[in-house]
Amino acid sequence: MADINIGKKEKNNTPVLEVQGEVDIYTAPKLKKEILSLIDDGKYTMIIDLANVDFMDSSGLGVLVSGLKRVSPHDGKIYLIANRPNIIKIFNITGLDKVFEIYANIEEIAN
Amino acid sequence: MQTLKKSQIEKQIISLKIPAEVSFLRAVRLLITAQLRLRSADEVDLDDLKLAISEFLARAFEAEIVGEYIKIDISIEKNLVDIEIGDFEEFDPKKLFASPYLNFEAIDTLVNNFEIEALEGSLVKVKIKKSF
Repeated sequence: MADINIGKKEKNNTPVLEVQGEVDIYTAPKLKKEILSLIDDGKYTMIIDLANVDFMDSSGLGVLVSGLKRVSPHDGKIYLIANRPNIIKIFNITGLDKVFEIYANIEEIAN
Repeated sequence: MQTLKKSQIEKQIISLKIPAEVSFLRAVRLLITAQLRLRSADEVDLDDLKLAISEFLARAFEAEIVGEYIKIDISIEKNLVDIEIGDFEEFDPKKLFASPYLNFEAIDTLVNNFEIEALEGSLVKVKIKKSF
């Protein structure tokens, strides 16, 4: 499954998943695995950086929504970073831009 | 005066028969992108087309209406691309795109035309048109 790379780091003690590549029905399970791994470790608030995602369909959205459903009961949050027009568009046309907090970069979240 | 390349004038037809595996979706997107970029297609149009095709195929895989292979015929002429994808078991597009994430109406806004054509037996193919 080489069409997606997911790096992990922390920003102010919040885990950050840096996703690079294309998120579709083939690669979305890898993103889901990383999100679930954080949740299993008790990390219910996280940042998912989609700034280097070239393409995403609703397989990716499904994974993000599923993650949000799992962290919400723990007062957790999933912050998204997205700045590519095609990625922002899929959130807009599905109405998920009102469900997720989407920022242009990681500094905006800190502010 | 700008001179058009031969590839921008002639009608191009590309036919693919790929194993019905989700790992091939990216290759399909790459091929379509490369061909349309040769004709200076707008990136927004390209993104919309890729999303419509990928979304349809992803839902088709989930609904298990695909056979052993997927046939894709791409025809590009001037600023119009026609894509025919088959063969699938008959399906109801409203149900196939019943996901709350990207429904049929949303898919329909991404392309000029998205229709289903009956084939022999109970098989169908999907025809997508997109101008760029």
